[in-house]
Amino acid sequence: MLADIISANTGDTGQAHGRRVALIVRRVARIVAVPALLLMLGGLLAYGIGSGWLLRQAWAGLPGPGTVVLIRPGDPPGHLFSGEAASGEAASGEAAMSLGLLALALVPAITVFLILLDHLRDRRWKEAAVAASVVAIMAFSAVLGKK
Amino acid sequence: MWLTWATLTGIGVGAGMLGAMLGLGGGIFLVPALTLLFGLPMRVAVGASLIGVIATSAGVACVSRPGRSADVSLALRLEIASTLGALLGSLIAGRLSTRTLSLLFAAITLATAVYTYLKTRRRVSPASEDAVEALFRTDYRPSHWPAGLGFMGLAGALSGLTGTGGGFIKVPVMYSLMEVPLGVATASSNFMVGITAAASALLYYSRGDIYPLVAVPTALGVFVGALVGARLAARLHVETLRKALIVLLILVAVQMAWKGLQGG
Repeated sequence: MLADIISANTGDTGQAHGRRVALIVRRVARIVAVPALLLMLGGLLAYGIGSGWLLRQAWAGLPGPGTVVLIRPGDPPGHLFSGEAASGEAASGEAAMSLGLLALALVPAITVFLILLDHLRDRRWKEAAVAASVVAIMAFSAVLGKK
Repeated sequence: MWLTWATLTGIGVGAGMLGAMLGLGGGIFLVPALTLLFGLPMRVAVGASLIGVIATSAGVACVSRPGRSADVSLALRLEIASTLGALLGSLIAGRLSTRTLSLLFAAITLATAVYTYLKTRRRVSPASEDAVEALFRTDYRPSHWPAGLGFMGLAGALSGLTGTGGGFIKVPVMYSLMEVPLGVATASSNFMVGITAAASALLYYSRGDIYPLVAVPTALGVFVGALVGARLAARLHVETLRKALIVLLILVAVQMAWKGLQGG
């Protein structure tokens, strides 16, 4: 039974449902991945600008509003170490980057899930079982990382 | 800081282009670049690379043309083995020495290069058919499923261990072993590496091993590179793509063997 499901005939790129599934793949990439990347780009710029502004403040010896620790004791002036929220802009930028990364990491899972729904709608049970297996493994992976 | 980001983005563009053209996901170039050029810890490089692989996959999907896209049905079947392998690979990553992993990686890659070369030499007839159309023909029926699934599991395990998408195994296995046309194999691999990398990336993200300041500029570069690479791939002939794949496999094998012999 399992072998039958796995080794069913494929080569469906030229068929109607194959073209529809390909469209799902393309649309999810454009609708989710592109905004995720734009969010990451915006976050990166905000982080850079925010950190740069605070660096200038630090060089001038003027702590700005919302300043967190920027320079480690003993480090040269202007040495920015990663992982610290340097300013409001930088903190927002870092949050935007993290959100964008998560959205990008979820693109394949969203794609396979939508393909699963498409198969269920057309009652292609074998195909749906395959897609559901992949979604389940990905969900298990995310849960495993939390433990 | 800006210069570092620009360099990371530049490396990403190169990796994305090559990854998209060859269906490899780009991770095979990113990890060595990030560890050797920037001296980043392996786990950080692997995390950034996994995000880069997903960006490559998404970039290629954005510009894929009708009739030139992945065989999703085939890809998802193979992904069952691949994602399971990725999970297992992530779990056993800490139990094998880097030296063992590097040598294993090199041996498998070299064997795949030799196998692809020998197999394709026997069947090449570019003069007798439209080579570009042959890349995406639809009258095929994948064969050798058990072996194909086994190799996909191995590719997934290596992905979880090394941060690559595993495309450098997936394309030759689909093409040479399962008799899938090279264009379909490449497009399907681009789709598959995104899923395999996502399975590992979700685990890495949950563990806090993905650093935004490294992963974001790299992923942005990879995405742009993948868009360019996907457009170039559609214009390449089967021979060019095959030769590039074999050369690349040999280079990766030599690099990994050297690393292993040096003690990882």
